[in-house]
Amino acid sequence: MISSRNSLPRVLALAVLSFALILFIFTQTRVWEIVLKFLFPLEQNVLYGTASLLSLAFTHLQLIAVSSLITTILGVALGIFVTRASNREFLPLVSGFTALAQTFPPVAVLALSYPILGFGFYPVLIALCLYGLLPILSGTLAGIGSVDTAALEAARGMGMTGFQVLTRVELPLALRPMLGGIRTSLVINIGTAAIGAAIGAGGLGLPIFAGLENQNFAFVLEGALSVALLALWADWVMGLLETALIRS
Amino acid sequence: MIDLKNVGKKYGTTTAVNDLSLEVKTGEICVLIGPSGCGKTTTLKMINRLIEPSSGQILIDGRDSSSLKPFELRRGIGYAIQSVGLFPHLTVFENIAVVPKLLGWQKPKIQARVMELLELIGLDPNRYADAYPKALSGGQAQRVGVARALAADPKVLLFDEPFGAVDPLTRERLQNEFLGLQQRLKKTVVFVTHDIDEAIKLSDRIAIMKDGKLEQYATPEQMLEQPANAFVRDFIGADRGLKRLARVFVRDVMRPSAGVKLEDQNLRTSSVFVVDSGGVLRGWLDPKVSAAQDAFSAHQWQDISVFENTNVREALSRMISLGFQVLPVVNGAGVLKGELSLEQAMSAKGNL
Repeated sequence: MISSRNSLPRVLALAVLSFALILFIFTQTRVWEIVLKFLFPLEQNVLYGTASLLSLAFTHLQLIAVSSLITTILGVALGIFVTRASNREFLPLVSGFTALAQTFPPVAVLALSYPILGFGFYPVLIALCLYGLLPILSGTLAGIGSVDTAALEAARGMGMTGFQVLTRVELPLALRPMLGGIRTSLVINIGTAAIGAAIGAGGLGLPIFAGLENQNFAFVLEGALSVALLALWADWVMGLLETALIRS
Repeated sequence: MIDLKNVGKKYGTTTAVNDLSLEVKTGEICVLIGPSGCGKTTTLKMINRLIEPSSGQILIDGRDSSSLKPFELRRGIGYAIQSVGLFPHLTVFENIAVVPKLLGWQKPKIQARVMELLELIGLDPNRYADAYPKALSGGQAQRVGVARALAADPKVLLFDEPFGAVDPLTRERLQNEFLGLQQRLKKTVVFVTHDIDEAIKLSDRIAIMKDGKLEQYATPEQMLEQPANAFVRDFIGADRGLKRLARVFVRDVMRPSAGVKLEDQNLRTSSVFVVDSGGVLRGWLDPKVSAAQDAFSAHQWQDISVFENTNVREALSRMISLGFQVLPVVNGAGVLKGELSLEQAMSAKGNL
């Protein structure tokens, strides 16, 4: 059934509006201060002062947006590439690697990437790309792999070209696991990017690490709440997007 | 016409199809049959080049099939398979419209064609056009699969066990519908099955295969009469005589039946069947009972009668299960059209 509640324009409008609301929340310094002061009455400073929440969020979102865009394009393209009949020999290798790499915790990925890639925004970006690629790739592989072979045979037998089989049958039918993979990757990346602050990427991880260093848990909560807000928002929007794009 | 000339398919050192030559005449149904692994499906798929032949040539209406791009060739050939393969993300309408869309038909033409096909396969367009495949029963899905194969009105149809995955009752109904369609459409059909009864029922010619080789290519009557070798004889089975009766219809052997009017008191008549004033069968006469109205039994006419287009094999089976020596023959409304006796059914073999 097509759910008329969630048409694509409606979902996009909802996403933009809710995003604006989150940015608005980040600008409300006074409210944050009152709330954190109430929770931590003994702290002198309850707000991370080095940078505004909005500018931290901006850096954080840059990391996420760029890495997620790259990983989505790369993951889907790689997934499509290894499932073409002529490239099937790569499939076991790639899916095996994907499964193995998924068992790595994100912290370990960043910790290991630091000695190799160094310190700063771009090394963290690369690490996020590498780690975020895996759920998208495995979602794409699972999605394309789950397409009914009878539907594929019928599509070819009726005279679709290879490209038409891909765009009209395989990708629409693979959409659910693919979007699921993108959703997972996005949410994991938002959280992992916070750890990126430890190796100089900036972003919403900064107040968390500053708070941990100075035993100021108001800072930790400020950063953690902000990251959680973004992660929940991304998860919610992706969920809406799934209901808008998938019909069956 | 489909003309296979010395066609072969090898996978490495194993031969799936070996030097096969076969001519399917325009407007005929050719059934490919044989045990699993005999190469019948491979042969079918070589016609639309889902499998490329290793050797030989396939001509479709005189044109070498390898002269076209595979996808162009396939758009001109209807294709239906056992697992149907309807696209679950498309509606019934969109599923049937796939090939016309690939061929670039205009929207109004596609719309009209899909509606026509839904009527043809007996699915109410208002109810089913916008339904998704998962809402269909097995039989309905198979019908949509057939409609999809017919969508662009191809001259050639390839059917790979299209009725294999449904229950026996539905299968029989689909077979009958298919025969009715074919009488009107006169397509050139290659039909793969492993069911000899289906082959005998549907085919104009049967090609029986074993280990990639053609064992016999003949009309069902010829094949039942003169199996080419021991394999063909065994494959057809011991009841060849009975199977031949599946090719004879009740209308060809029945005799007229006057029927006794319900209100008649005079039973000096050869007929044992009682009809009402409209000619509709109401029961049969027990010789021990004098008046026709006493002849009724609990049976409805549907339970004891056969139709003119019932095959004699089915009629004979009906006689045996009912214990009757004579069956009434009726039309769809139950009007008595004649009767079929056991002797007539037995003699049907001689009428071939």
